[in-house]
Amino acid sequence: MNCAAFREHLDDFARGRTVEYISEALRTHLESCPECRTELADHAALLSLLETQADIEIKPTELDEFLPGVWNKIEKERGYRAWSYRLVPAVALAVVLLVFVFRQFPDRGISREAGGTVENIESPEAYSSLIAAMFGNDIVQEIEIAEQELESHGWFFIGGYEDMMISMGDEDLKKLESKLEELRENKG
Amino acid sequence: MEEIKGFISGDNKAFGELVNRYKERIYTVVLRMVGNRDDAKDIAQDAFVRAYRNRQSFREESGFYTWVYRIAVNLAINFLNRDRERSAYSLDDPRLGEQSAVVSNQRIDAEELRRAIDKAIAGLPARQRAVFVLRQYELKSNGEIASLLSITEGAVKANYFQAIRKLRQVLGRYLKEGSLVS
Repeated sequence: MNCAAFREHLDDFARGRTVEYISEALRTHLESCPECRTELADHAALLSLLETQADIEIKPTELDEFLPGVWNKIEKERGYRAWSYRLVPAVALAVVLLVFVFRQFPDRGISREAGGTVENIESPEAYSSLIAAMFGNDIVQEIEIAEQELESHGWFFIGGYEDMMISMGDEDLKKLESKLEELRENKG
Repeated sequence: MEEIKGFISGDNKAFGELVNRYKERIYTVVLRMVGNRDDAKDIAQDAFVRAYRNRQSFREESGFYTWVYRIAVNLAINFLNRDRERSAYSLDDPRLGEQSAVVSNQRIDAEELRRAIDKAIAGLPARQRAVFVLRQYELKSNGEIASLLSITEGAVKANYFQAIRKLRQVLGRYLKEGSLVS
């Protein structure tokens, strides 16, 4: 056995945890190696010193409130989870609105004055038709769901279809105008 | 066994009995690792809360105590990693060296020695500290520690070796001849 192998087993040997044939090999090595003898003595002294720390004093009443504390935490967590679940519809609504806004205003930041080139659309139905023509029926349903959700919370859809057009970028506005024209022709 | 079945099916009384049975052992190992009674109680309670929350995924063959023990040890390591700055003492803290030098030629008071060892252990990085505590005080084998911490046995040995090396460096003066504990 060499010194590296000895050190591999040093801790177990000092604790008396090595099997007999390994202990025997370690003892043989120790007889001829003063460095490993010193190493073993130092390590054993450290273990002995650390052993003075082996007992931890737990006072009889120290854990009296442990179980009630566990239940408090469980109850708190349940309350938090219930509260989190209540947030789910609001988060879903926010996501829908975000999707809606980003799809409506790809050129964010471009705005124009109220009363611009687009004539008023007569009704929300016409507005829905327009949006459906431009972006498909899915987005209309999403908007309706969002509006209903807002109304169920006592809120109302902020800004109408006119406000939306005012904030549109030029390309979407042209697209909207042409769709509007198309609808009028069909209507006419 | 009845309590385990009750625990899995959501019987609060059974869970309470399991907590009361194992709380001291779980608390003790966490206390050794984090060194502070309030933090230890908090972490040990969190371990039971997690067990309760995940009771459906508990596999009976692993044993309830072993399961909570593993959760607690890993929560303690997370705490130590997160709370590193709050660690009161570092092994590089010169105050500790000065103090050691002063006492090295005297008989050392037991309480003072306890504080020095606490400081030395508190100065170990989280993983080394966990490995050291589990091996030294919980008498776990390298294989058991590896399984508990989800690391290799080689990593356990390396961490333990580093921990011992640092402890010897810091506590070396207490080991000198003539500085026996009174």
